[in-house]
Amino acid sequence: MRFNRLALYGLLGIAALMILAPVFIMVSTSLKPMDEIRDGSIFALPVEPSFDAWREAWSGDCSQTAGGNCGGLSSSFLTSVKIVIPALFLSVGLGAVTGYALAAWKMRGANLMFAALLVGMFIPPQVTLYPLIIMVRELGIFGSIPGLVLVHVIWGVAFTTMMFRNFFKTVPQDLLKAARIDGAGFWPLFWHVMLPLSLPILGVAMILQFTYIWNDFLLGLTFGGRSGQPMTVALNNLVGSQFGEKEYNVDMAATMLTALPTLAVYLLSGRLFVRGIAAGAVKG
Amino acid sequence: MKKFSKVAALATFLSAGVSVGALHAQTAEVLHWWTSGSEQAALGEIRAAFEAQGGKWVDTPIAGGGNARAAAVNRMLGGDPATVFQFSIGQQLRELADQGLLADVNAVAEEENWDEKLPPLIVQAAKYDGDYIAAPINIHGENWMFYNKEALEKAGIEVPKSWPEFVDAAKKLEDDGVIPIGLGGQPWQERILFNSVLLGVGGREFYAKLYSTLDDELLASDTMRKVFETFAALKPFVDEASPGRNWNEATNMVIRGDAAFQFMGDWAKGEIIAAGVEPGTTVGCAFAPAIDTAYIMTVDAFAFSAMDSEEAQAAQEKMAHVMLEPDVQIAFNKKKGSIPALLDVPGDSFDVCAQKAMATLQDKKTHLVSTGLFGVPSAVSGAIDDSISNFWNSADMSPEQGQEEFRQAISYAK
Amino acid sequence: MAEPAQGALKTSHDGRWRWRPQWTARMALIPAMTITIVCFYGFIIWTFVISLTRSRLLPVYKFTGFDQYVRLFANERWWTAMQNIAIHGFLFIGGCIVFGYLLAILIDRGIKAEGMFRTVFMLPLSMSFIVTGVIWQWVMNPGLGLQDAVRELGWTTFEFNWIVRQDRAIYTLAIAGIWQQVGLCMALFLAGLRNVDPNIWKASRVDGIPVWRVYLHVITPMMRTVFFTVFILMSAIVMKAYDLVVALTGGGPGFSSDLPAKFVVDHILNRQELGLGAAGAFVLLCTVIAVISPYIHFELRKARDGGGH
Repeated sequence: MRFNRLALYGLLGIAALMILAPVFIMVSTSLKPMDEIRDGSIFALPVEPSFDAWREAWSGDCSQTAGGNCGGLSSSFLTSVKIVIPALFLSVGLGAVTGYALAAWKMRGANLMFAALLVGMFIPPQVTLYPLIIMVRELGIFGSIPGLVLVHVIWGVAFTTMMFRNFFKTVPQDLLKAARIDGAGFWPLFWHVMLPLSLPILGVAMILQFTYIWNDFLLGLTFGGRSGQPMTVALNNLVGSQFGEKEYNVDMAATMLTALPTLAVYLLSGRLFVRGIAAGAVKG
Repeated sequence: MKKFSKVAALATFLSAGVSVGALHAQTAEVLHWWTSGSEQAALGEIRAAFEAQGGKWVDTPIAGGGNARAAAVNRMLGGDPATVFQFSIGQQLRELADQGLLADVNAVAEEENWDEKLPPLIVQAAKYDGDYIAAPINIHGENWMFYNKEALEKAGIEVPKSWPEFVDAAKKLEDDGVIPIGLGGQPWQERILFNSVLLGVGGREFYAKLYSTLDDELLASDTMRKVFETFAALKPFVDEASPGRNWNEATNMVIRGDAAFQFMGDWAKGEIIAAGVEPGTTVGCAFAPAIDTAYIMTVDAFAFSAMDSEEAQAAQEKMAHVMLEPDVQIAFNKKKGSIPALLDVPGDSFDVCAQKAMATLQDKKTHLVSTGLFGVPSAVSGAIDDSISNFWNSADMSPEQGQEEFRQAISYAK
Repeated sequence: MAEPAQGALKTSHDGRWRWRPQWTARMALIPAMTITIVCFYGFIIWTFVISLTRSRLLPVYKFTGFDQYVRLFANERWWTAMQNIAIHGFLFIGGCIVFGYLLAILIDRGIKAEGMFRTVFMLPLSMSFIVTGVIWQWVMNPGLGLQDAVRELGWTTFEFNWIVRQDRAIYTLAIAGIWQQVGLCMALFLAGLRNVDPNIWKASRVDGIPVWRVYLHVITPMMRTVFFTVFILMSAIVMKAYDLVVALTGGGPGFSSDLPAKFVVDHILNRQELGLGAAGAFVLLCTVIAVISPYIHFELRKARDGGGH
């Protein structure tokens, strides 16, 4: 028994090390000056850790770039926030309402529609860029944050609807029936009964959608226009534009900075995540 | 009133031939992919000149030519175009013009006589239906060979003049513990090496004929076989970590002496200068080994979106004018590592490599086009890159197979 | 097919007051329905139409029949990409399921610091595919990464150069992909394990059945739906895989690690081959529908059975 426990922790420990090693490399590299990176192994700890690379990644180094771009990430951070908040609430909200309508209100063709909608989860957004551009242009919101938000809602709705619909399907029919007999209409039932029930799955859907939208590159590049370029586009400009030799420390620091918000979300809500999934995503 | 006319006169003087909207700053959003250090510095020269003449520059950099070109086109489709955007001249740009998405800059071109001053091949590529749809701002050469002088001296070798000589030299360097070829293993870089071999083995007439006709017989010829054999013979001289490497990392390998040669366009000079080295000193430049002299040209250009606002149009004309001003051409091209697109700009302040290029181009027979951006349709260009890269990275493909695949890829794409 | 009967039953019992909420429910579906019809199916049809034209940079409606498909199927790079998506899909999904399930079981054995391990395993999920690609490109680069580090430790013949080898590069995609997604699979499996009736464990303990046999023969079959969910989520990722390959290998060396989505994007956006790219996109979308139709069938059957098991 004792040996079993030891083996158990041993295996978990090895797995954790393998998962953490790349993250460790990133962090330690971002803290090293370039000399150390050139000479040492990637697994070595920084001898003289410094945050210079982080500073440069965040605010850029204006002395080197005569084109007038300091190239830091700070300017686009706020843009990303402006994109992600409306896109997150709209895509999750629409998914919740659609999933609820499909699951709790018996309608002819509801299943067919759900099946049809699911296809959207599998379509690579990159391959249907042109028609989407034309559509957003016709709506008159191309090259703006609202346009980009709409695009995120379109590509997020299939996934969020699936999460909510599958969860709401597990709610006992008797409960719904009782509520309806009490005269609860569509919206009251949603706000007062279903939405509070769905909090765990709401958490999961929010976390995953936040990650997807925050990490998007191509949609932001295409639909954001001049004012709506998210942080990932700035990251690409930074990593793809080095003065002479590649500055790995700045690359890594910039990469970490871009990933920081999502990282924080996972660190703070890890428990919620598993609980949310346990509450619904895998049932039914 | 008097005051007004004075200001207007001054503005007209400053913007030379641009008459409308001169009173307030003309704003131009410039979309480009020049994000590396030397490129930024070079572009900064244009920006400074544009702003000095009263324009307002809004910068939209997007790293990666593919990304930036796609963004420019997508924004035009979406009805939110950038005023001025970097693009490659050639068929792709002509298609945009065909759809009425571009503005011409004939007024500036006529006034400044671009027809006479630009090389004929470039004039042809920058025009659509007799209209200038782009401002070509420089000429890069792609068949350069940069080398670390110290590494060559240590191994006791001369700069090779033919490909067999190169192979012998590479073997010596290898024994010396130096990587013979610093190569960035990305398809377009492998293609640059290939085209240098093609020119070197086949000669300039063969090169010009092959890419202008894409003729099946030429592709299947013995000369082509020899090209592939020579190309294959270079495979062992590249280090293991080459695949995926960026071109400027490879340049830095040569600067440091880790690698002896790099086959790259002359934009590599920008990185050499940025590292504090004068081209032609510790890092030398020569044309890639070849049986006759030629210059594989590629051109950087900016195009102009069709826009309704008069202010934008005025800004576009001002930009076209600024970009080809002799002083700007000199300052820009020195930092970029290229040579001026205008053949009459004095070259005495340029480095030895650039002067060599300028002297070479005096003979029109040396003018060749790159297959990268404007020589051939981009479908063919892509197919060329694919099959070259596939052959280069394959461990077991014979030169015969490589040649056959190359022929097929081109015939499907053209 | 049970619905018409139910509907009839309802109208006979319901008063007029229930007519309205049903309508509201239908109205609530309009946005999602519009997106589905216009964006998903409309775009698929548009793609198909374009694939029948000779469009190069911009959409042009000059039809050429199935020429683009002939060119597509003669293109070696396309076949490499299709073969790669099969290899990658098999390794990535398989790896995520196996490792995710194993990790979930280990965590489910009642360990201390469960929260910490869980968080660690889910950490990579917060990284984008681009970031994942960048990190792993570095770790797997033979000149900088793992190979170099191990050789410096003294094992000079150590080799780990898959990323620069034409015949191995495709496997590196699966390694990086599994690293990133294994946490989500673990969480899904763990949630499933937590839903297992504790009485099963009590009973098996009384009968003296070894733990591994309980997992293999009792628990695993009960987790069918979780396996299915994981399979579907991971196949959606495989079908959409683009960023990862761009950042990790760029499709190289040569085009040996290319994937269909990258093929399509390269041709549409960079090569003035909109028609050919659209043909590729349409084939890819058909593949998508073929892969998920069992899932849709499953969902519909489940719904017919009256929801939740």
